[in-house]
Amino acid sequence: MKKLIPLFMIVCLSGCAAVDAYLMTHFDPVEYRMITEIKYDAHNSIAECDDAVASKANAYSLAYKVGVYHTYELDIPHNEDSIKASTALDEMTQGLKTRYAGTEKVSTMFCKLKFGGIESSATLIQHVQGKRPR
Amino acid sequence: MNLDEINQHLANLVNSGDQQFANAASFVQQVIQQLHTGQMSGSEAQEVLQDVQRQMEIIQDMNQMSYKETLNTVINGVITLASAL
Repeated sequence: MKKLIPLFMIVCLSGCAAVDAYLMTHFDPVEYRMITEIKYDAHNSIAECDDAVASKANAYSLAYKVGVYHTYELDIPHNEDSIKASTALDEMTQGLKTRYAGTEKVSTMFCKLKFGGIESSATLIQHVQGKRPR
Repeated sequence: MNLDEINQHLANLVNSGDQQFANAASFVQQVIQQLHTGQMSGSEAQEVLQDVQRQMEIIQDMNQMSYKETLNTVINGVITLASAL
């Protein structure tokens, strides 16, 4: 009983936050691999923004990868923060794909800013997911 | 809100001292500039600015998760210490 007192105190002091933290999803190498690929692809795609055909293919490929990543995140229990982040990342990527699917010309600047934004967001997510408890 | 007011708010955010907000405000200033010089269309600028909001959400979600990771480490540390009592 004496051993449980500190844990009981933590739970009483911070309530749900402590329970959420204790139950949080542990490090998942599949998830980490997916977000790393997204970051890497987004980074490499920036250099090809002058080539409209290659950029369209890159946008479609990245939209597919982020879609798979988002779907993977959805069914992991105690994973609310990652689900919300992957939803936002999916919206960013789908917006890029939709633009390339349309008839209007996509500007090089837009391409660079979109892939750049996706890369920086994926970098942040990768950094935090990499620190999940082992 | 007119363009002068928008620029004033952006300047205040750039000088706010908060790095994340300063970066976001600086990015919005660049987008306005690119819109003026015709490097991007209005609808492209709109999409890129919506991404800024999405990126702020991601930052918020990842901050939250980072706090949980720290708390998880602390709880497991306390459990280990308690088991040694």
